[in-house]
Amino acid sequence: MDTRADIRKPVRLATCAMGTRFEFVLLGDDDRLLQAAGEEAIHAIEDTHRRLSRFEPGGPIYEINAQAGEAAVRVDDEIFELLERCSNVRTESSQAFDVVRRAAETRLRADPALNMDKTQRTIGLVSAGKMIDLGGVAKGFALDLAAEILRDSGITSAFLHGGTSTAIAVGHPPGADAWAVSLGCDTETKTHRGIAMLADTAMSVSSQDGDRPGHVINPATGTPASNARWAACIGASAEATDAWSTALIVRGTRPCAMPDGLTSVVEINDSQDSRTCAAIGPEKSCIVSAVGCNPPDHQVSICSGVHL
Amino acid sequence: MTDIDRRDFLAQSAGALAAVSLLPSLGLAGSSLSAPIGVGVIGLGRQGRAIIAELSGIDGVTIRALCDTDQRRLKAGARRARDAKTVRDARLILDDASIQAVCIATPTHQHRELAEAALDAGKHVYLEAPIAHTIEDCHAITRAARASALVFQPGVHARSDPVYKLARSFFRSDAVRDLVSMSANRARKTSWRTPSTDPVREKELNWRLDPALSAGLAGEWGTHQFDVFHWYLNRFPVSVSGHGDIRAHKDGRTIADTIGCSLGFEDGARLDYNATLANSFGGMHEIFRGTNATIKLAWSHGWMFKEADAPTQGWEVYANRQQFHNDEGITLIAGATKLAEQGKLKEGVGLPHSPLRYALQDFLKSATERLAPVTSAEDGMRASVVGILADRAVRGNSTIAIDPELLRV
Repeated sequence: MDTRADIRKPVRLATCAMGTRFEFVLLGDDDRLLQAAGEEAIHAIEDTHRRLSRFEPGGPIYEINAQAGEAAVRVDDEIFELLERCSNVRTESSQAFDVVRRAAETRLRADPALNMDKTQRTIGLVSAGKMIDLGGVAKGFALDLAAEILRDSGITSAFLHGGTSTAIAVGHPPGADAWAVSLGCDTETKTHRGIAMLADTAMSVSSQDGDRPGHVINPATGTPASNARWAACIGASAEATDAWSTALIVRGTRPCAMPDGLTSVVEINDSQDSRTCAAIGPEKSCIVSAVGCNPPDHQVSICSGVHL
Repeated sequence: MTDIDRRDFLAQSAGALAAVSLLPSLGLAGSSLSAPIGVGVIGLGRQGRAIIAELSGIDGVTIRALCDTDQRRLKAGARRARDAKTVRDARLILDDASIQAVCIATPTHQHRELAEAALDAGKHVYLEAPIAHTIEDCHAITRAARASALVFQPGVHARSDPVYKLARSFFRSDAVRDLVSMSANRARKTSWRTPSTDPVREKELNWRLDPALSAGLAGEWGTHQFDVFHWYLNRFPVSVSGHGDIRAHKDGRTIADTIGCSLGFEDGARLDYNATLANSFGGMHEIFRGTNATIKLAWSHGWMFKEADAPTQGWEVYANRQQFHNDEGITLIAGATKLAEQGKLKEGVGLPHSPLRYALQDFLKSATERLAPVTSAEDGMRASVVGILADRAVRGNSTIAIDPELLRV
């Protein structure tokens, strides 16, 4: 008897938001609960798009950008705290990560571009010609919210990703310890980068290869980051892993101030133009060298940096 | 003159000329009130949390308390307003002297008790629409609001929405000319279910699917759109026919997931309304077709499609346009003057804030300055009653004559 017949069909949901496609796979016994919880989580993604997209009139980020150099904008605590966390990563990464895009003439300035007043809960861009672009961090933030909704709704097994560059696992699939996530192939050497085993963990990858080579910009120089070809970050929060995967590829090394709870993997070009890749951090054991290995069940392919 | 200079020049000219014609003033600058006000939010589902986010952007508002019986929702709401106290009993908000106004976004069948109690407690009330799930409750709430010296504003947003105000001025100024037909649509692919592993809680959370408590798609969704037509036409339907079916969510529910209604007006004009939970095409919009032009409204955006033989006004030469297959729409941009001054007048730009922000802003302005609300209790009552009757027509697959007395209190 084929035991696979006993495996329930997963509930799948998707939405287009933040310039990319979010997909959810939910497993469990109660289809109605899975569908309802998944829809609630999808709504959180769409709501986050409305609130955090710089292209979405009516949202606070759009308004802050529209008021750049003129006035600060009052925001709710959730958005204020998100931008505070982004500001912290900026400091900890020595500005390898920055949600503020600068105009050409001010690229090299190190002063904070955001004026944040915690008492008034206002955020302003200090000068015109700058804009907040939360990019992948918004995806991570949305995925964290979605995963929390699923967990709070009693969902114990789900996998969520946004544009395949950031993913979060809720629990693990039935019969396995973790969701097996393919890290894709190096486009130049055609070698498989490996598989990450994720259970209640988030992961983000960032790359200068793929569909949009050179799209990750070094905020300090305004030019494409060139210190690394590919980076991944694993941790509890998709928002944090997305921010830090960007910082890793810009720096090409793990910053000293990077939180201990995050695992980093950076693929760099060394002096002989050969590839060096090392996992550093508490979850390094979840990276499985997979050259020639068979993909396990429930494998999800996650490829590189679709930052829109 | 370079291309860019010319474009800027045209954009600024368009803004100025359009402003001379009909545009209301609307800035991107932060919203503010003339006096501070303490606000409580009761009901922290999606709409309640959206209310918190919008209130947070208005200068002068302090969100003092949040209320919901569901711990998850309290937690999610509190993330947006850390300093607000969180309570599970609405009485604690109504007894709080630091709170002058409440926003009620609970399930519809709980509205009457909460709205009456809030007015009794001396709070200004913003009540989500439909204002109630029965005609009796709609009338009772309206009577309570009318008897009170406090501000009561139902949560139908069109009358506060700058795009809708602008489009109405076109509509009322004969730009559309003779009304041919009207239609409205709301589509979203969703089960309309809220998850819970507890069967008792699941039943409570899924009141929209309970035939005894729900006003169905026509009531829960249609109410917001019916008010647009009441406001634009300044008259109300005299009959409604409806039909509905379960096209996608065959999970034991009896509330239709796809409906169609036709609302008849005394002069023979008809409004066709379609709503579905099975498909998302078209989203939420309203259309007025006239012999000279068609106006399409989509809450943050609006367009006017001119007939080829319709007279052209001077400003239209410079107006922004968007192409919809074979039709070209003139974009109705609220606040075009300021946007043009800022060099931000561009094709298809929408409102700088959500329609909800403008509705809340109007409510709080009325509350702090003791002005009559932009949307009255009667406006909310009439839209809700028509929604409830449309739902009855859908359930009975029938035509119902609308007694004008039901639209009066």
